[in-house]
Amino acid sequence: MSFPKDFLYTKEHEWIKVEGGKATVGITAHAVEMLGDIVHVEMPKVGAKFKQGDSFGTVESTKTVSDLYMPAGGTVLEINTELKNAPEKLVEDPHGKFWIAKLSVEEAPKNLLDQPAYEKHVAEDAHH
Amino acid sequence: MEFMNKSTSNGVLLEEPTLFERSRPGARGTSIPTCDVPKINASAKFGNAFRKNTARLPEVSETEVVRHFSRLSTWNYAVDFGIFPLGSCTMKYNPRHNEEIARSGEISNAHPYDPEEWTQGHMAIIHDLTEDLKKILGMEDVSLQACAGAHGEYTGLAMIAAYERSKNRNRRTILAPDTSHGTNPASAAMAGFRIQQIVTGEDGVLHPDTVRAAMTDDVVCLMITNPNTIGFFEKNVKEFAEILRAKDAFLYIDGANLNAIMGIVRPGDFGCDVIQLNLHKTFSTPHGGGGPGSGPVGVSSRLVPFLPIPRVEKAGNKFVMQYNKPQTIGRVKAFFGNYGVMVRAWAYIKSLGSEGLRAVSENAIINANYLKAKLSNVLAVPLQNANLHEIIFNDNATKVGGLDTTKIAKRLIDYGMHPPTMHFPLCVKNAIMVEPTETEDRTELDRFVNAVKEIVSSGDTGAAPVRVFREKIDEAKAARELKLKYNFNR
Amino acid sequence: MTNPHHFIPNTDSDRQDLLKVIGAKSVEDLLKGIPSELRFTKDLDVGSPMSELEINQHFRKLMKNSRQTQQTLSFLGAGVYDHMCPAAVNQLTLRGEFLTTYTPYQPEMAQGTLQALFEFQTHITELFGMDVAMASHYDGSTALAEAVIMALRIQSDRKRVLISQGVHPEYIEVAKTYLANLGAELTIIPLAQDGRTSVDALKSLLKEDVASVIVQTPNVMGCVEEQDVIADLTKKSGALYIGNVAEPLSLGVLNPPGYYGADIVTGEGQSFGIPAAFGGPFLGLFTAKQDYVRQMPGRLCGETIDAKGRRSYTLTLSTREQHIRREKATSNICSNQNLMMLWSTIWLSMIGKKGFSELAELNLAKSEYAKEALQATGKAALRYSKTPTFNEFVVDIKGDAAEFVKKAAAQGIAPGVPLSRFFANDKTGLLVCVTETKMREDIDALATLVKNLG
Repeated sequence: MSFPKDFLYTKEHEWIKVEGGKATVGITAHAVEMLGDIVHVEMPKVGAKFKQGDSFGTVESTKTVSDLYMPAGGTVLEINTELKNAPEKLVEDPHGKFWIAKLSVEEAPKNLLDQPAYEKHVAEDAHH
Repeated sequence: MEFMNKSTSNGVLLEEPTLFERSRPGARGTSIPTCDVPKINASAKFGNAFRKNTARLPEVSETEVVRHFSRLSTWNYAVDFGIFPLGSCTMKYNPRHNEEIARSGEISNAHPYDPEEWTQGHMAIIHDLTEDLKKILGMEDVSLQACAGAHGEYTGLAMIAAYERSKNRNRRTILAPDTSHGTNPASAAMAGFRIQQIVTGEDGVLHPDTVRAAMTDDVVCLMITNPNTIGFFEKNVKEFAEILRAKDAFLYIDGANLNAIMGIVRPGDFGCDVIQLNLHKTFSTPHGGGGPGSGPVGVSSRLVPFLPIPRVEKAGNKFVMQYNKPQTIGRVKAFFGNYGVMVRAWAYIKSLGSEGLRAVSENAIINANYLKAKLSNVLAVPLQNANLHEIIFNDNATKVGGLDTTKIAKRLIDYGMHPPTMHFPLCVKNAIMVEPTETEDRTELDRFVNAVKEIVSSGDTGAAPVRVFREKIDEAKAARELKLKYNFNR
Repeated sequence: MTNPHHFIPNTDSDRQDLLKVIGAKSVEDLLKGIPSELRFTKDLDVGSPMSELEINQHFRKLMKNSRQTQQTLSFLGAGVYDHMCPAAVNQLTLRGEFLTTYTPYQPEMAQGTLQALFEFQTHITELFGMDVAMASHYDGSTALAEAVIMALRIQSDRKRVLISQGVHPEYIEVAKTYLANLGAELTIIPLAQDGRTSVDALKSLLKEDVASVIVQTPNVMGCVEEQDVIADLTKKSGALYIGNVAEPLSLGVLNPPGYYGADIVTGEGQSFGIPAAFGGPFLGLFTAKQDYVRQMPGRLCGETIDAKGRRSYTLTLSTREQHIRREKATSNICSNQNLMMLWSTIWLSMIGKKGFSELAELNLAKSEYAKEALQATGKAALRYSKTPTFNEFVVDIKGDAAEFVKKAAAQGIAPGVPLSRFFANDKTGLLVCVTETKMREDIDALATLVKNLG
């Protein structure tokens, strides 16, 4: 399983790609694998404001419901409507086509993991 | 496949569509009485509020209704067929006499607002059951208003919240071990509390130092199950009670496992402040496929003023419903609780008497330990300690060959029996939790043992179950498509 | 060598054999995990074992004054209604396959319970005019309390709940208990002179902090509410409209709250032939719009397929429930009133589409006849004479209604619920319920009683 180098990650397995004042947010392939059969993605409303660490939605599988935590504070500009109708597609390309939300970022996110740190985190997770 | 063939029958299993598909205009399932008073034009009476768009209930004959539900019933497994060894759920035999009494005209026709003179007998039963449960539990008083274990749990916690208010305090933390049930945090949240998890010792019980270390000023309660969900007795329980009392905090016992200790030890004697039980577990009222239950709550003297109203009390030589309790939390349900369920439990206690109740617990313990002795060289026993009424195995010994917990459980269905509780408690990886109860005879216990042995020795990891009316059911599809009612346009 | 009781199969000799396999001398060896100082060594003192016959004899003695034994006549309703019930309903629910099974967590062994649930959910959505119905709650009162909490969760920035005085008073009390620890405020909307929720009061109370408005129809006075007006005002304010139906047979002649765009509708299913049983077990009905399906508390059954593509059913969306979501769960509820769910499903199937409307019309006719008969005595006045009712109505009698009820009970008649039971200052009001189970001569007997004692 590989994770893009230009993303930053949370310990709760969200990723963020920051480009200027804007960012794209999703969940990692590792998270998708742990969740199993995904049946629903609860999306935030466009225009909603969040602080870093706020819960902005949920991903639901047949096993569990997982909260989505904001990797950065900001306002939702766009949500991936395709996931609304076909949540099971998330597994196909979680780092690319099936991002969850796009944000305008108000302040730079703090205390996130870079790619090597996240890989290490995932490896440790597997031992538990 | 000696035992599989022995265990599975090929009953008459007929396919049956929904009743909506059988519906034919004009068909009747019963006769409506003739109107012996002047008819009223409902449309004129109600004007705009009159319903023109009739609900699409089915139109079918009585025969079709009876056949329909009889056929559906044949697709269910039940205690009436055999062992139902769900750990922690206590699926025991449901005596028929209890059912007959509960469905008698005397019980069925009683209206909750009947004049007091007519309901003396009902209040006597509620009072009698309350008194019996007080004795069995050793508690100061008992409320019968809650309709299920979770409802009782909420009621108990709401009383603690009310106690805190009465002392002008607002402690919000409840300690609970990692063996606890998911309802604990959910009920705590509904009563405005939050759960802090503490860790069970290697020996499967909780230790006083763990509790002491977690006792901050915000802790109002420790919530444990005793015997715990691993089937062990929390032997340090009295010390927990002392630690909590010193801070005017509470010891909450989830009484889900009372079946193991009746007449042997009483929660009130080991310092319990609140305990909720399930009449459908220990006291044999039928589960009915998910309810109705009844969740009596026993309390210590500190919490008596906060019990829900009304209370059945004796006033001279008659019973009354007493509403005048200034510190009560109020009602948790309309009327007086699931009375029909109480009646069944009442008859059960009358039938067994003191000695019988003790024999229930002793035989539940013996049967569980028999299964442990017979299966401990077949399945792994991850925690060694003195087991009471239930045993936890896991798949450590069989997983290598591909027989994990889920596979073993699903394969048991092919042997014509219900699987044990799986993957609970969470502190044991891939747990298989077996509770046979005292109502299984030796032949039935051996049927279970032989099935498990054959499953393990065969090493068959193919699809399971296959000898069933429906094979592996697609739960992901159900959750994605959400077809939650019949589609009349299909 | 006997077994200790007929519920416990092990005989003394079986017990010895089992203990030998275990490697224990006696059951005491198995109790070593319990500290000896905690052991209970006395008799439980709950009496000696009784045979079925002895229990029956004891039971009949206790029941000598019950309404059944005395063959009384009753006009009590107020949330618990006396309706006909075809014999097949009781008999089918006695089948052990339904009665003695567990929650259908293993769908391969529980398709019977699950398909019944699916049919039940369909019945209730049809009757309430709503998108989704849950597998049932404890009763109408707890269903309503859970609906109030659900609405607060959806409207997380609003903290006030408006509830009509016309909602069953015991339901309001349950909602108060549930809200006591959640930091929300409950305000009562008074009734107007016509027995219906005051629209003027509602208008003045509907501020921006209101999360939901709860109205019951027919209400506790039996009056049919102006749901169109109330729903409209509520929606415009941004609050959720919660309808409650305590007598769902009324939906055979009256529009359901769903017709008026209700967001959540709760109710009590006891009317579907379920025995009064001194107040329970009953059947909590819970429905909502599709948009809120993931916010709904409790259990749901859904249609799917099995490995061979055959139509099958399973519990679904259970990830929102307590065993997975723990403190974030939509409720702590982990059961439903499944046997009562089955009872009502069979009852509704037998009564059927046409029968349901006809039965409702019969209730209306009997109740209207009773209104006339009581007024004709000159001793009882219809309180809300201009407001339509279904099968229940309020009359004011001369003198104290509670006293009157006492005197009537001595003659074997329960003429109604005195309103002082709910509203201490209401001394003259009597809530009379007349269903299809009352013959014309029963109603005439009630009128005679009012004439003689009123």
